[in-house]
Amino acid sequence: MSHQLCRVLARPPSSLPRRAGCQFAKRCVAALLICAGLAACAPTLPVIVKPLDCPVPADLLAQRCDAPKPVPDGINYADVISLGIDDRQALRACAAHDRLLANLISECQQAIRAYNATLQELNDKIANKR
Amino acid sequence: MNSLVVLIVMVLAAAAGWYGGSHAGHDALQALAKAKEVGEQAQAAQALATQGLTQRLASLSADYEQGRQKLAAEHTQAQSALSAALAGRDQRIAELSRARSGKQAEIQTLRQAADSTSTTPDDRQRLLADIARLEKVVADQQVQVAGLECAKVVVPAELLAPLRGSQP
Repeated sequence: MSHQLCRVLARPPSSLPRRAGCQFAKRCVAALLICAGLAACAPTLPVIVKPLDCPVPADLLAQRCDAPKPVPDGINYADVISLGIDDRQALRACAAHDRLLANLISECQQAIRAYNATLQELNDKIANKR
Repeated sequence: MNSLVVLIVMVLAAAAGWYGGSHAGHDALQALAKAKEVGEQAQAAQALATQGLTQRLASLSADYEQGRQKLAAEHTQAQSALSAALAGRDQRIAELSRARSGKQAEIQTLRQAADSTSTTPDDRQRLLADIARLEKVVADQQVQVAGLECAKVVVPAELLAPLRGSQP
């Protein structure tokens, strides 16, 4: 492998003899390896900033609206009123849940917009400093 | 002599390289420091935004939970009120019927007084106004009795069909 590399690197026409060219190529490879090793010692910078999450609880997202209750045959008018009470309750709960999700999304969007504006300000600051 | 010149040239070249390299390195270090500062500021902004958002979402969720419990309590109360109204239905019908009979008897008496020849026109006017008021009360009671009696009546299938829609 090393011999093949030497051959490739030492192939171009040169005033140096073939053996000297191989030595030179070996030194170049060694220098490259040292440089690569030194690069690993460079400090780590947080170049990519974490995006903002929208932490809506999973149980809220999993909730679903209740379907209207079934209307059996032979029920009387009092039973119909009772069904109406149940269905109205389900509808109000569904509307409240729907409103909550809309509010949560709205809050998240607002926070993300504000966060993006902060990042933009930081970017502008860097650009101006340069 | 030649070696000395070569040595001096090498030293000068090394010094020039050191000077140039250190100057460029200074800029690079400054840029690195700036990048680090900006990165830390961005991370702090992210943490602050996450904390604020989490608090607002928790507040909204808590309000929702409170509203949900209130709705559930209102629902229980509404079903209890219906059950109580149905349980006392017969008694209520009897009370309304008695009250209605009493009002009807009163109307009869007032009508006789209004029809009397000895009644002055002003008194007749007043009696007729009382009769009209009582007749309205009787009519309302009649409607209430009919409604309560209807509660136990089975709903015809043709009236249930539109309520069902496409569901059973």
